Amino acid sequence: MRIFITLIITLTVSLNGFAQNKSAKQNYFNAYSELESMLAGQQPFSFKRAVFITENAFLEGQLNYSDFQKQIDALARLTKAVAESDGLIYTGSDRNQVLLSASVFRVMKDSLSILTNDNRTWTKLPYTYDMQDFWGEKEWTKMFVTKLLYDKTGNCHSLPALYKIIADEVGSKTWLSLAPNHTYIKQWSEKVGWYNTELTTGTFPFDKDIKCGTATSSLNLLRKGCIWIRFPQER
Amino acid sequence: MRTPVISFIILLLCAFCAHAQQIPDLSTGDHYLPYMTEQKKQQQITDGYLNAAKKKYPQTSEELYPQLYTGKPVELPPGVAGTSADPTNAMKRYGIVQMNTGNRPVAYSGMSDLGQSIEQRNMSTIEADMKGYNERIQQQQQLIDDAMKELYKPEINYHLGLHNGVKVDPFIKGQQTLEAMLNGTEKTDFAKAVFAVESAVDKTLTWNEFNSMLQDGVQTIGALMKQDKLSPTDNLAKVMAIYRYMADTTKVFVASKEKMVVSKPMLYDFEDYEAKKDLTKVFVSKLMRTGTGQCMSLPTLFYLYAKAINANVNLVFAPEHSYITFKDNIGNRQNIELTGRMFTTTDFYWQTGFIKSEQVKSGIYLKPLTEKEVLVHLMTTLARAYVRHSARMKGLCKWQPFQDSTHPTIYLRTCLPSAIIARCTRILYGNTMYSVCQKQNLRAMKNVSRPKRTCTLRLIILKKILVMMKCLTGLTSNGLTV
Repeated sequence: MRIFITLIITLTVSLNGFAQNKSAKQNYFNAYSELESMLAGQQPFSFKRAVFITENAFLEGQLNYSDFQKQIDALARLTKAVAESDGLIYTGSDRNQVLLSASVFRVMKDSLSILTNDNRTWTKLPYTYDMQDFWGEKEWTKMFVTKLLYDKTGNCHSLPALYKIIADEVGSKTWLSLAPNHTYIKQWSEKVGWYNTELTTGTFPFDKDIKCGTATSSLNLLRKGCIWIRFPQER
Repeated sequence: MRTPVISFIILLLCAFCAHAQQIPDLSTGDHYLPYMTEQKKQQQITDGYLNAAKKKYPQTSEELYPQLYTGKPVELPPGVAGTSADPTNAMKRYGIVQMNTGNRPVAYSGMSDLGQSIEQRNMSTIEADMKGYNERIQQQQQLIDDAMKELYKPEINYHLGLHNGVKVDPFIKGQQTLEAMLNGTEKTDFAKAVFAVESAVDKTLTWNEFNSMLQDGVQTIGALMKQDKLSPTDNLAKVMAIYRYMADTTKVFVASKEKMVVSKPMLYDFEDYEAKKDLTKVFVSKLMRTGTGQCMSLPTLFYLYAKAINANVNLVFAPEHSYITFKDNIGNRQNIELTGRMFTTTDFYWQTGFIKSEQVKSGIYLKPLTEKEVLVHLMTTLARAYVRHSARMKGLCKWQPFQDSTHPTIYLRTCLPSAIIARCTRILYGNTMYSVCQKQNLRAMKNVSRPKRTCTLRLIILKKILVMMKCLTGLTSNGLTV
């Protein structure tokens, strides 16, 4: 009798494990097919959705897209409110774009004091760099935007991604750019041309800073179709 | 017996419930509202902020003076019909009251549409203003469009009289030799090409002097290689021999002169290194005569020596700078910085901060130049020298330069499409100059009418550059985004 019971228990456990393994795999396949359909143009392309899908696949489908959207919406509305308060000294035909990207940057990297309805001040603290396990060697979720939204700390993978998501929401043009072991944001303005936005430190570095800082090879830079420090043809 | 069990179960349940209760996270966010989730807090705050931002100012009197509109309207006794006391005659809204034109005197004759209400008249004036503004905007756009069209026109429409003279002849001669080399009708000889440029400006320079000075250096380098027992076929050995001759004190027996020759290192001339006062400061002949040069003459001389002994090196440009690069025996690129007499990495030039990745990708900076590109560079130097020379000497050109174009590149751009100007200017000044030129160009097109020019040679040289640039380097304006 005992043997029988133990057999049943082991069987159920093993079957359960097998099923879990299969569903985990299926998550990745689903995410892949959705991303593929986005690339093929069968589905409207959305960077926000793409980021969510990839993170949800790793977390075995436990995330809710509407929750994610709500948080992003709140940030986007905050950005718009910051943009309405203005205060930008810039005269150019693309002033609106610069204002929007500046307010996204402020929402991400500045402390904002906000007066609530019941006359309380609430401080929105900047998203900072998570110094512990930034490679994501122990905990892969360190790379995720959902972790950044929860913890208010991120790394050079999640911070630019969130910046791009908010910028897409409010209608500011940004391009995600890659360097060895690093991502950052490239943008174009009438006054300075192409410029870089670094979300980890909250600065606007020159190309040389990124080139020399990430040890990008000159050959890599010159090679056709290469991914490092790339800028798009159309703006 | 059972009571302790039940109590134990109840205890367990309580503990479980207590554990399941949400504990507010006090470490992050707001301390005032710990009972709310972060999401709700954000929602509330952004809503509040948005409401505050969207606060509207009163636009109607009902909004302005709400106390007047509260309560029921007081019922007054009906007035006498046909008088102002009659409520049907009372003015409810002043805006839509019709002006009584019949009884009132006309204020002035220009006011023809007195029959309209104030609002209508205001609207009509506003519409007229809008129309005028739009027309003005369109006119401005038209002007700019015309200017841009003229700018990007690939050909030159006006004919100018040929100007001859003793002072212009060396420039024409230099231009012809360079053109022949670029076309391939003549064999490419960089010594002759450099001499053609420099002799046009420097009247004291003769080919014999230039060639003998150059050959002295070449002989000494050959002797150095022999003395050090270096292989005459090794590229690296040749480059290092030239480098040693230019950057080090050497003592060697030259067989053709039958004596020991001592050479001193070639140093940097800090006086007027930008050649603002004296154009000959950037020349190779000045370097060979005095032994001091700057970042244009030193690499050019190195290049000449290398071409004389068949070493394979390239000239490279950085913003307002040029240097030498070559491939060593392993296959890696090495840079020689002759102004500081050292070997540098490419990152050294990146570190200046003036270089953008786009400029490197489009081949503006840090790209080894081909032989033809070097010739084109010499051609631009000649053109620039001519422009500068002609501006200096009064009477050479009949036309007076207009105030806007004090800079030589502004002359260049007046008869060239912008892509070529960019190429020329970036070689001479770096890429920042290009945008400056374009802006000034536009300003000039808007405000100043084109003065008649009677100078031709400039045109010929620059037209040739135009054609050659297009043919040889395959340059398009797409590659020159700033």
